[in-house]
This record gives sequence, C-alpha cells and structure tokens, in this order.
Amino acid sequence: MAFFQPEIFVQILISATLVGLIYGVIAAGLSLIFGLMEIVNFAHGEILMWAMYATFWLFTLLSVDPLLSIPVNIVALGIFGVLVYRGVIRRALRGPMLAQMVITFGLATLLRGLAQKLFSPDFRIVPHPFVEGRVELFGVALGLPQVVAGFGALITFLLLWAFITKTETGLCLQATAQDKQAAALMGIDTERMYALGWAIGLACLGVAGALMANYYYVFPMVGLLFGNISYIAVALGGFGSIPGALVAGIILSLVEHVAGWFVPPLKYAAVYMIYIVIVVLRPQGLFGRS
Amino acid sequence: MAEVSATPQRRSSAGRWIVYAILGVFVLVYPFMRFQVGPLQVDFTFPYARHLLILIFLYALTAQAWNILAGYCGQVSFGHVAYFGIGAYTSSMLLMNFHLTPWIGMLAGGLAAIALGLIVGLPTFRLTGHYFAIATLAIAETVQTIFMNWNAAGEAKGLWLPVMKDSLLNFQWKSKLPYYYVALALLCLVYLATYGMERSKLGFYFRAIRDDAVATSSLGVDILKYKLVALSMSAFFSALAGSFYAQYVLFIDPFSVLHLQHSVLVVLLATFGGVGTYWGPIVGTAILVPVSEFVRIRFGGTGGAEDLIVYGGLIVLMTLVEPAGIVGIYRQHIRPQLFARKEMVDVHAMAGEATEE
Amino acid sequence: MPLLEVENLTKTFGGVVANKDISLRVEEGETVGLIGPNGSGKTTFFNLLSGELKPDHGTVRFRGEDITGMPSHAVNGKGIARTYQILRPFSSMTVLENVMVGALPRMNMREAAEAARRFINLVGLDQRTFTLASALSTGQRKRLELARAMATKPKLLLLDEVTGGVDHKSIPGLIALVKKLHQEGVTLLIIEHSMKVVMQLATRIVAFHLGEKICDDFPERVATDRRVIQLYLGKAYAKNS
Repeated sequence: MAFFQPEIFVQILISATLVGLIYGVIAAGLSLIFGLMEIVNFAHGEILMWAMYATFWLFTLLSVDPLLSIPVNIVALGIFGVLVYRGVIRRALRGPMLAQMVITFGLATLLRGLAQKLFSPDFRIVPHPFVEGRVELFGVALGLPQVVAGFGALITFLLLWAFITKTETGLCLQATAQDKQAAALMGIDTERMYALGWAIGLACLGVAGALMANYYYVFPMVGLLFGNISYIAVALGGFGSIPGALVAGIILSLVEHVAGWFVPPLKYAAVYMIYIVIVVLRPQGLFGRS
Repeated sequence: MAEVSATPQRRSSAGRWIVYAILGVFVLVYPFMRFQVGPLQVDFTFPYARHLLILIFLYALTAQAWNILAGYCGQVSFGHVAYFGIGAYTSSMLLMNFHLTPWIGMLAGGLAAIALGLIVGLPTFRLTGHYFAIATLAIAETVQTIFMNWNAAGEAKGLWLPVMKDSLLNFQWKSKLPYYYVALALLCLVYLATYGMERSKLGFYFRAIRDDAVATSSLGVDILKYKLVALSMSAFFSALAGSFYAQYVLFIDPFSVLHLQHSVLVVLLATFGGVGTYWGPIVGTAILVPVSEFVRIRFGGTGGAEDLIVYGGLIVLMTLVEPAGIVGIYRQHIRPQLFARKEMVDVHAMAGEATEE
Repeated sequence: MPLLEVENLTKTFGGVVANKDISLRVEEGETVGLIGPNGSGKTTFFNLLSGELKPDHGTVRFRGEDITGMPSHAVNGKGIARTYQILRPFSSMTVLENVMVGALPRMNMREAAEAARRFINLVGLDQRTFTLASALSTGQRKRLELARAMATKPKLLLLDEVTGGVDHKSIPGLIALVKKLHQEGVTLLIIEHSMKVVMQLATRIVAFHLGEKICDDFPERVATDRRVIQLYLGKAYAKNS
C-alpha cells in the first residue's frame, strides 16, 4: 500500500483528468452516432487505431508532425465516416438490431486484421514529436504530450458542443436525433444528418488519434482497449448524451488511475466493475433517457 | 422475414432426412476416408484434415451455445469467452492440482460457468439491449484481468498441461482421431439440448422473451428465471468447449481462452449462419472456418491475421446482403413456401391438426 | 368482498403526478369503463395494477390479497391479465404459438395447445391459426392479444383501448367479442376513447382527469355529469343522451 501523499494525489488527479478528457472526446463521437441512429459503433476503437497509424505514417513517411496531422486526420476520417455510413451502415439500419451490432463488429475485425497484415503487430512510436518532454502544471510534473492531448481533447469537445448547440446544422442534428420523422417533416435532410453524424463522430477519433500518437504506442490491438473504454463510457454516461460521455470518460479515468495507484494490475477491472455497479443502480446511465 | 402463412404441408421430409443421413455418415467416416477417384485423390487421414473438422466442431459448439442465449432468447452477449475460459481453466487447474480426470473437470467447469452466469445475470438482466451487451463485455474483460493476475492460474504466462499417457481417462491422445469423435459428440450434445429446448416450454418462453419481454411477463412467465436458464445452458456448453480446447492444445493462457476476439468470433460465426436458427451456427462455422484456413494457408505470410480479414469482411458482406444469414437466404430464396419450422409441425400434431391446403 | 380494491394509488414521474390518490372498487362480474383524455393517467393506472410499475403510495388488493408492487408475472398468476394499447404480438411466432405462451405457465404442452385452439376459435382467428403474428392485420392482432390474455385464465381482464386504430366496420364485431369474453366469466376493466363503445359495454364508468378520478358512477349519470361534460365529452353528446 502506498503512503497517501498530497502531491502524488494531485498528480493522479490531474493525469486522470487529462486522460479522461481524451476518453471523453472519443466517447462523445460514439454517443453522437448513437443518439442519431441507435447504433453502437463497435468499430470505434479500431478506427481510432487507424487514425493513430495514419498519424504515425504521416510522420514517418512525410515528416508531418502529429499536431499538424490533426487537420488532415479530421478531413480523412470525416470522409471515411461518410463512406462507412453510406456503404455499410445505411443498409444495416433497415435490418434487425442484432445485425446492426454485428456489422460494426465485423468491420472492427476487418480493420484490425488489415492493420495487422499491412503494418505487422510491431509496436510503433513517434520519436521526438514537436511536443515532447515534461512540463509543470499546478506544481506537478507531467508529460507535455499528455497535457497537450488533454487540452486538445477539451478544446475539441467544446467546439463539438458549441457546434451542436449553437449552429443551425447542430440543431438540425439534435432534432434528427430526437425524432427523425418530425425532423424530416420539417425539411431537414435526415440522410445528410446521419452521414454528418458519422463524419463528426469519426473526425473526433482523428483528433484523438493524432494527439495520442504523440506519446502512446501504436499497434493493431490498441483499438481494443480504448474501444472498450469508450463503449463503457458511452453506456455509463447514458447512450446519446454527449456531455454524459465526457463526464463518464473522466470518471472512468479517475477510477483507472486511482485503482492503478493502489492495485496496478487490476486497474481496468476496476473500470469495468464501476460500470456494472453504476448501471445496475441506474439502468439508463448517468444522463441517459430512461 | 417471410410473411407467408405458415401452414405446414405434410410434405415429404424424406428428402431432408436423406441429406441428414448422408452428412451424418460422412462425418462419422471422414477421419478414415482415403480413396482415389480417377485423378482425384482424397485423403483425410492426415492430422491437418482431422484438425480442420475438430476446429469446426469446436467452434460450432461455442456458436450454438451462444445462439441459445442470444438467438433463441434474444439476450445478446459479447462476453461469452468468459465461460469458455472458465471451463478451460477449471478443468486444467483441477487436473494439475488434484489429478482430477478432465472429464469430471469438464463438468466442474460447466458448473463454474453456470455459477458465474447466475452471479452476472441476476443484476444485469434487468438492463436492456445495448446496456446489457456492454455489461457482458465488461464482465468478460474483468474475468480476463483476474486470470492474468492470478498466480495459481499461471497469470499471463498461462498453464502448460502435463503430457500424459494416451487414455480416455486422461482425456489425452497423441493421435487426433479420438479428439475428433469427442468434439463431434459434444457438438451433438449441444444440438440435442437445443432440439429438446425448442420443443419444450423453454423454447416458447425463450422466443417470447426475445420478441417482447414485457408482454411475456404479463402472461405469467418469470422472465428473469428463464433468461437465467438460457444463460446457464449457454454458459455450460461454452465451458465444455473450453475444457476440450485445454485438453486438445495442452496450453492455455488469458490470451488464447479469455480474449475478446473469441467472443466476437462466436458472434460472427453464429450470425453468418443465421442467428436464432437451429442449423445456423454449424452452417456458418462450416463455411467460415475452412475459408479462413484456406486463405491463411494460401495467402498467409508475415503478420498473420488473414483469418480476421476473412471473418470481418465476410460478415460485413453477409449482413449487408442478408442479415438473417445463410439460413435466411435458404428460407427466403430457396424454399420460401416451406417456411415451416419443425416445432410447429409437432404442435399441429398435438393440437389434432389435419393437414389443409 | 370486491374483486379489486384500489386505495390511494399514487405514481409520480419526475415532476408529473400521473396517478394521484386513486381509489376504486371493482366487483366480480362488472364491466367498468375507464375514460379520460390523453395523459389523464389511465394507462399508468393499468401499469400499476398489472405490476409493470410500482406505485409510490397506495395499495392494490385483489380478491382480498395485497398485490401492491408485485412483479407482473406474479400478478398474472393471481388472476389479472391485460392487453396493450400499442400491441405487443410475438412477431416471430404463429398465432397458435402466441396464445400457447399464455397457456403454458398453467398446463403442459398438449393441454396448452388445446386451450389455445379454443381461445383462437373464441376470438375468431381460427383461419389464421398458423399465420405468423407479423402477418396479421391490426384488427387480427387485437383479437390475438385478447386470446393470448384469456389463455392465462384471468378473473380480471384489463383492456387498453381495444378498439383503438380499428376501422369502423370491425368495431361492432370487437364489441360483441368483448361481451362474449365477459360471458366467459371474466370481470372487465376497459380503457376506451370512444364513448359509443363504452356506453355499450360498461355497467359503470370511471372518469380520469390529470391523474385524478373525477367521477365513478352509472353510465347515464356519468354522461350527464357536469364536470365530465365540461372536460371533454362535449355538449352535443350530453344533450343527445
């Protein structure tokens, strides 16, 4: 058991919040998609993994710093989102719920297999990105990439939230999410909204992937871990609630880091168990519609 | 779904039975088949040929086990690997620590899996749809984490089962032949259990719960109880498969028997064949496993993962084309007028129905 | 002893009081009509009776036994069955299988099949015995729900908008069917929008408004009750009755 020292506690808190913000922005994209069409994109983790690889290859082959690849990733993954929706998801929406779950599972498996085949299972890392080294924040030493990632995630989330609540298109998205038929009757192109939802949801992954490539290992299985956490965050926050996803991401990260301090090997088990405990007591998640 | 009036004709089911008989005989003599027809040389006596079918039997077993809970009862679980792994670890640890024959260990594993299922099911079955599916994911990941850190279970290094003399009691043989028939027997067991379930009250309750749980409850059926029954059946057979795997491969670790990929694979196999149908799981497995093995052998190189590409790609294609799977295609396009399920025919017999139309 | 005795039943959702201090008695053999505008709490009331919802306060007594808060399968075991306003057929199962699900908790497979056949004949769906429920028309699905609920051998049947969404021509047939069910010995509590239907079936009418019971009397008296008329019956009907 570790001694309880205030400085360490503050460090855990800050680290956890920074990581939690990343979980949150990943989960927010997932929640946006679910809110629109009630599909859990079980390929979310794998797409994040590909975003990380895209960042890595841009750096390795074209010397593009991960920070600069953020706009590239946003565009690339936005387009990919539209393609996935039009090519795969739209058809599945007409089928039963199980088919919708399974198709994204299939997509995830396909993406993971392709990554492993094309890039090999080796762990990759971006050596010496623009943001590297340590920095001091609130008297605590932290890695600069992690801090940048956390703030980057926060900014992305705020931009997303502003877009959804303040712009006309964003309000159209909300309307479509709440009642597709009514939205269509009011002249909203719901097809376009669905595609837009996917574009934005996956664009969030583009940002997260680029930010994470600054300090995290890139390998085919990385999608599993972050994917799982994002599904749990979305469910914990309440399916369809974007602020819920952020809050849940931070909560899960706090649990992970605190548990990681006391019982490191079981920290993820703690994260999974917290989900079970909370959702059994509150079946619709923290902010979900019951 | 076919919207046809499902009046069964007393059609000759002789055709079907002949097909079943041929397949049955084939499967029984397969490991001994070795002949030459003109230029075509067929030899299934070498280890890989038998291994391929053993894989199919094993996966079909797990797929059908999952199908009972998810297909028939409508409770979609993405964490079935937990039961598979518990079966594998229970029988292996009992063997290594208490020299208990794996047959009893297998049963113990089945019971342990049921116990986990009940502990997990009780709080989570009140959750709906996606919340429930993710809960099953969370449970499976937790189980994997626990075993990765459990000293007696070998932690991340896993367990090497002791190589013992060839014997039935030891559940170990050098040749693949006995494994072939054991796997086949286990597969028949789960299919028999499903057959019995379909015809019993369980079958009715499961399907009703799947279609509308609230309405089912309002008719006097304790839906929690029956969901737990479905889960117990499902967990039990998944665990049997896990124990078999342990005895077949003689090495288990959290990556091989408790990994999410296994859960996903089971879902894909059953769905490809046709979820909620009787033959779906085995049809899906019988197609996907050989195809992926073929691709792996033919195109495999460094990096591997060809099987993932095959599974993932094919399931995406199948879901786009026909969400009801291969069996769905058969029902819709090959035999649309005969959408009569076996249990309905029996029910008509019971209700004293004389054939009409 | 009344068959059903409800006392001060209350249920709140968030800020909305869906049912406020509802007290009600139903005697065996009655057909009680439950009327009220949308949102007056009628379906919530049914959900509280059938066990799908738990009340915040109040009690429900059925045949003298306190069944407050019991889960719906247990309530059905005691003898209360219900149909739904938004129909809930088992779409992947045939009419026969649907009705059998109602019968199976009380008997074996053979008996259940026979009992199911009887109820299917009773509601006039025998031509469709082996049709998948998903292939039925709305009117047929209503009959299916009736047969399925009756297969549970209830003493009290809660019918939620049984003529809702049904074309005019089919309504007299449904009314006749409900009367037939009543003759089978089932006490009825029916939610209805159509005053014409209620007046034909009910021996007593209870009126709800904004979660409260505002009237509980013989049909003729309810039709002329000033509060009821004011709220939603419309002056034209009151004048004509």
